[in-house]
Amino acid sequence: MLSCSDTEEDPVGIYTYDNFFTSEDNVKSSLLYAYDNSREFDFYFTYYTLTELGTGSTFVTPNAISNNMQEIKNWNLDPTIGALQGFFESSYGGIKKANVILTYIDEIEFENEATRNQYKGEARFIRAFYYFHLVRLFGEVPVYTTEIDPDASSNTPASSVQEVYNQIIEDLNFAVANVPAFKIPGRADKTAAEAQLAKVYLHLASSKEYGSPRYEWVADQNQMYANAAQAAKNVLNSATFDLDASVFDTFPDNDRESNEKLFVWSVDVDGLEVGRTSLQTFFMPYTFYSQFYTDEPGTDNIIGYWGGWASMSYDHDDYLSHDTNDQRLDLFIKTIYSDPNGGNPADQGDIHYNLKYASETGAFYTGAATPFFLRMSDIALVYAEAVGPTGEGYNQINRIRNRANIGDLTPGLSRAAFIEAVWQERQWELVMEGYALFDLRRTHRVDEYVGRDVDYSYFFPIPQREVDLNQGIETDSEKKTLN
Amino acid sequence: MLKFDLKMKLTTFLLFTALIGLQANDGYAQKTKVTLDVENATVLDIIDDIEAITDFRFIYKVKVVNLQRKLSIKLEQEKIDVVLERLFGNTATDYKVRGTQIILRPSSDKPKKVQLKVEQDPIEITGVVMDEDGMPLPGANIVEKGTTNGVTADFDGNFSIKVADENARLVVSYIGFATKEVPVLGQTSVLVSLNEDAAGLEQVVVIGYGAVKKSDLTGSVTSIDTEQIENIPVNQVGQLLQGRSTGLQITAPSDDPEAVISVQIRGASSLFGSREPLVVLDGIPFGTLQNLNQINPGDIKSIEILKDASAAAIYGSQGANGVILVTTKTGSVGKPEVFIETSYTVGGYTKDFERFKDLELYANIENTENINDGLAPSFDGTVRNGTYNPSPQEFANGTYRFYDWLPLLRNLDPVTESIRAGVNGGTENNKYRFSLSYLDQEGSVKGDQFKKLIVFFKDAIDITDKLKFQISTSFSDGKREFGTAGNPGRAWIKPFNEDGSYFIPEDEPNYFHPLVQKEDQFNQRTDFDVLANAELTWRPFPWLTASSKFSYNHLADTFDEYQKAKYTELFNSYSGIGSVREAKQRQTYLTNTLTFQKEFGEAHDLSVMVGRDDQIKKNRFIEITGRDFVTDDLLNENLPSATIENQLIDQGFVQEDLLSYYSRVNYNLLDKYLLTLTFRADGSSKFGENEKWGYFPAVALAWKMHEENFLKDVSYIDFLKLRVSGGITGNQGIQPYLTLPRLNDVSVYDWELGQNVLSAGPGDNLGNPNLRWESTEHYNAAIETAFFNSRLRFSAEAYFKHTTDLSRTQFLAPSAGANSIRINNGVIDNWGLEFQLGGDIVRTENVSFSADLNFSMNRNEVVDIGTAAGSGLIEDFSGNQFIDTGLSVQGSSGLNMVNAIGEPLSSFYGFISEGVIQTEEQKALGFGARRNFGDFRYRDLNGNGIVDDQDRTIIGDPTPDFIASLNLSFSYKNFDMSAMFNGVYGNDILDRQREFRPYGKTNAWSLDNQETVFPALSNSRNFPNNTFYIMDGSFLRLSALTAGYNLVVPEQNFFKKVRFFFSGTNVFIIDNDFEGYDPEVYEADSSLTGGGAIGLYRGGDPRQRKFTIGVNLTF
Repeated sequence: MLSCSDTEEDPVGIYTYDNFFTSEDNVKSSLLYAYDNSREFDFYFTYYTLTELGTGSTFVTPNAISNNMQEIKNWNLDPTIGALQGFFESSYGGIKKANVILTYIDEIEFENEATRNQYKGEARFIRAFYYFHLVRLFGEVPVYTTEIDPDASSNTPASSVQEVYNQIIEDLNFAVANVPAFKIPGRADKTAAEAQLAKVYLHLASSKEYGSPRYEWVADQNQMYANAAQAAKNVLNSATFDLDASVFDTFPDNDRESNEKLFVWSVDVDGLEVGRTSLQTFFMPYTFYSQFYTDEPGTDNIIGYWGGWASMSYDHDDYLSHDTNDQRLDLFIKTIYSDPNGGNPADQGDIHYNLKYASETGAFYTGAATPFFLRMSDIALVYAEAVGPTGEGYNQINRIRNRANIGDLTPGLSRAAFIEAVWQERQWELVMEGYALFDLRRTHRVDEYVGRDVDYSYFFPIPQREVDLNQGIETDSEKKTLN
Repeated sequence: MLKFDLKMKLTTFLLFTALIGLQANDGYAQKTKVTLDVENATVLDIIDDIEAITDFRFIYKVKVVNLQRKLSIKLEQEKIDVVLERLFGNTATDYKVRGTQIILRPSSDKPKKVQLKVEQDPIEITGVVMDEDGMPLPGANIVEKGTTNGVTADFDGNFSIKVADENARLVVSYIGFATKEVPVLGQTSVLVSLNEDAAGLEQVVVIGYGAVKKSDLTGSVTSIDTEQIENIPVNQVGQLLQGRSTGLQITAPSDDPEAVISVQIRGASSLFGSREPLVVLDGIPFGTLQNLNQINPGDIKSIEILKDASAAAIYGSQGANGVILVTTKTGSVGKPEVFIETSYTVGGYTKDFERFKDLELYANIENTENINDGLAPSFDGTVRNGTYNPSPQEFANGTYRFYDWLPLLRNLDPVTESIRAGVNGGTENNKYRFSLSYLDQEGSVKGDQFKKLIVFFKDAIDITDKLKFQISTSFSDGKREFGTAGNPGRAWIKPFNEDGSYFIPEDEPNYFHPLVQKEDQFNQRTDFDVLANAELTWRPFPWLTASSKFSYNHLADTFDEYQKAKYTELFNSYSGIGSVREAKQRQTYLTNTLTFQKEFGEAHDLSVMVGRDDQIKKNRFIEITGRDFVTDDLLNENLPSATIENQLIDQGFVQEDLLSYYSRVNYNLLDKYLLTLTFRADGSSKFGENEKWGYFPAVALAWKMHEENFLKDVSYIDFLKLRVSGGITGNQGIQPYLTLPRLNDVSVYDWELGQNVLSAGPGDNLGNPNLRWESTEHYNAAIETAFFNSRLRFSAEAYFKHTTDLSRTQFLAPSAGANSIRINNGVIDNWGLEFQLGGDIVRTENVSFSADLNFSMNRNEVVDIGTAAGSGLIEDFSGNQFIDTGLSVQGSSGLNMVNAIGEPLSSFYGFISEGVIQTEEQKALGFGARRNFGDFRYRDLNGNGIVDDQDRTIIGDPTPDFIASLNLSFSYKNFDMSAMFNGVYGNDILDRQREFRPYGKTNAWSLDNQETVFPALSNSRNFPNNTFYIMDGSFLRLSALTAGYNLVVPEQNFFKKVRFFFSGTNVFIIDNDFEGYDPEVYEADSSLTGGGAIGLYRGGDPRQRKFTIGVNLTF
């Protein structure tokens, strides 16, 4: 008791870099934390608003004002928009989590060197995942590959778009080479890395082909298409993942046994405390403290718990553009029922709520859906687009169409017409999944699709806070008018 | 009834005659012969005789000549030289004859020095200590000067002490009286008469790691007279200190047993660090004033407030907010004395709680609100969602009536019972005190109860003359049952059926009765605290003292909480939630000091103290929560029966170590010039290698001008001291571990294992190894005076505090992946003036009346908070540059309280309201969507024709322009009375509920009521912060009134003292039309700058008016 005080800072019960990065298990733990970054509201919610709202396929209720939804929808953007900053900041939060692992992992003894490389590969996948979002949304951004020094962060210039892509491709190639194939929800494996790589190459190829700004540096678009096709082919041939037999195997209950989801969010569908998000509430009808149901009688027709905010729904015209036989229309709901047996219907007019993220379990505004970042039908269409109107290309798009109960695509289309059809199919198949803006940007169609010239159509402005606090960044007013 | 000091007058007169006497014949001394024949007369008597029969006049200073010495002299026709030699030869007094003047002064050649070396048997001296009126002073201390040899006078003032030889001097002291030095001079019996020391200048004042005479203080220290606050029943010492010292601002917003009060000494000087002074209990740094709840206020002997750097720098890094020293009572010599004090207090509210009793009016107002909001009226006589809503007519015709739920949910006259008892006594070598106090206080809501038992024991043992040991322990066992306020619900539903059972409306089977709601929540805290101190003092030589002090404080709090299923199911899907939280704090403290004190000749008095402190604080908690229970029956005593996934554990541990070296040098030259040098070095575990140590020096000078020759004999000046000081104190300003990069640990779901796992990784907590102490330069200048035998006292102080290296947040570029880092940068200045005026207006044997006025003003300014980017500085159109404090208030989003450069800390921010919109054109001056008739309109500061966010500016300052207090004491024979007035002036209050209270609603703007400041009725229009919500917070309160009567107890009675007392707190208040309950407001909120918001009114549990009767018995 009569011990003398010792002015050393010796924390107990608190993890610091020094006392935590000491074992293999702790690296894995930190890796799970890095995956968990996608569950940050600023990331996961803004991921949908930034990529969907401005494309016209999503209807936003006029009173939905959180997270700059109206500004994004109306392309009324400027560097001070909070949603841009939030997304930017949380993406870098994920990058930092990956970088810290990569900084410390070599100091730790591993029983098996392959495990070390697997963890490195997963960390580099995570880093590439965030940079791929940042470069497509903002263009030139600072690239960090080691733990960030707070002082240095105040004076780090942005890397060019090409440099960012080089880093992404290097990271993903490392992941493909070092991460084995496995299927663990919430984690990325070899197949996920290949899928991501296929999307990266397709983005480069089409951006170059259609003349999207800032992609002039891409040397050979055909090589990029070939790379995309090769990576997508590897995914399609995966032994563990495949298209589900029906879209309803993937939706709306977010069955995590689904074989189609290549990389899902690290959320736990059953958890009450851990791993939950409130994502579904933004797509759900506006209700409070109640369950609500589809018109299918029975116990499986609960579509939501504790209500929603009715922020985002499927655009009516886009909804009508589907073939009436299209089963994917059933992923949207117009009438909700407060009675499990179809009683008390409430018609929501022309509004079509998205059931892709609906979950029948959850409590108090937190849902338990298992959303995903990569899924097989996306990669099938990536492949189709990369190979064009070949037999394999037709085969892949028709797999998607047939599954949705619509017939084969007209045979013998020109490459341009075929690719146009792929784009249309992507819109029907992948609506409200966070791909729409990227498809428009890489195919140089933003203004055409929006129907008017808009500011920041190809790259969003770097958030003002970054410009203010990082002296290395120069504002790029050119972004406003890029076409 | 004025009573002048006759001796002082005489001295002046003699000086006068001496000047005249210069003309007299030089040969008088040679010519004059004196005859004396006196037996056992005092020197004074003999001098008087000589003056009566001759022209000789004696000139001397009363203090330095022993006039009480008795001797017998028989002389006939001797020259004055011979007489004087008989009188003063071989004594401590020298004489000199100049003409007819005989000048007496202390002998300079120490004639007895030779004899000192001779070993002598101790001499026993007996004596009695009395006051001026001859009343004995029991408990007076008698110490042989320069030794540790001391005794205490008994009940009759008698004492007996053995001294080394006849040259010994006795130092006699008693609280409230001037200390007197009495030479023994061969007498065996002395009578000591002490003069009342109204200014307390001779009183010994505790300072950090030592004590000095009040008159020798060089720093700014206020001593609080604990006698004055003895009979005021509060359970928080902080409340007692309100108004008792200049420079001390205490804001106590509530009478809740454990309300968080704000304590600030000389303004606030930290953004995120603590603003509370350090409390030191019996020499042990103890925490904040809140921590003193562990101590029974009845055991407190003295409280000192250290304000300037000279006084506080000895506490270094803990001293920047000032220091409060609390000393507990020690036993006194004598037979065991048993004391019992018991009191009974009834509280009440100074105003009725605002609520609608006229339900028709209420329904109409609610309906109007809905109509204004474009909704259907809510009181329309229909059933909605299973609830019947009566119409205004049904209220008017009495179908539904008002039931007052308030008395069912609140304690409108909460009772506090208090008993303090103990025993006090001891011998010269072993003094003890044992006390027990029990407090039982009702809170302001039903079911809220606070109980506390404190047992205190202290024993001071003199092992030898040179070795002393003291031990003290305090056990405190407390329990707080938190009542839940309970939602009063609908006032037209009756609470009870005829038979007293709870009334449930027939058509509402799910009606949740408010009293059931209360019963369904169980929430209590129990604490058991142990404080143990031990101190060993060794004084091998009179000039050297070594002291070692050890303290261990263990605080254990247990929080029990349970919400029954019926309650929790209302809000979520769990059936019952229960938790137990155990929090333990352990503080170990070891201090070792060495004090050297010696007089060198008559002129130099030097004391040097060096020391080292070791301080370790460990905080640990564990919390277990369970949810979803099969039954509520076991409350939170059966958490394992919760379903597995609903068993949650939380845990934490924090340790802080502080290692300090310090030294103080006091040098006293000629008892006129005083110098204090202080230095402390603190090493803290909170800081990284580079900045681990902080250094805190201070210097102070004081000049006791009244000791100078030119003032010495000015009769009406008793005391005049000038002092200046300057130094540096620090504030740690941060929580532990902020220098380290800490990982976040969160639970994630591991799909591989199929379970939740703890995972960790880098989050927002970037460590900054270069964090350092906030540092405050503090300069102080003061004058202290006492006039007319200390009947008039005045002192003034001026200070300037310059705080640099403010610990604050530096924001990082988003690409850093973290929001911010803690850094040191920023400057706050405080300056102020303090005045103290005291007067004994009447001072006679039977009647006394005195008044003391304290006046303090402090100006506070944020000088620098870094660059716009680095600290997130916002600049508005008006040129204000500020950071947000983070204050969020109901009904207002955005900025409410800011720290702006050039403005006081925590200034209010918002629009300037210009009234409500009355015309179509004025609608342009509304804000946002709120621009209808009856909404606020605002001043368009930037003149762009619309009101936008650039039209906001600083709109108020919650810090008072000045605070003042007046303390009146009156006594007549055995009756005494005192009153304390306390006031603040010129502070603003942010009252965001202003238009929502019944007064605001009934006076709302409407077409029929256009002359009003209140906006139109609405439920949905939340206005941004603006001047409408800023109220004047000035007030004057009679905060305490005490009257007591001491029964005349005959001697030898069983009872030694019987005192009855009556007291009132918060007797009345005068404010400037504050519409809320009470303008003394403070909201503790750890998320805010400085841990709380002064000046924010949220309508919390307000101050009560309390009356107490009690009795003190001693036998």
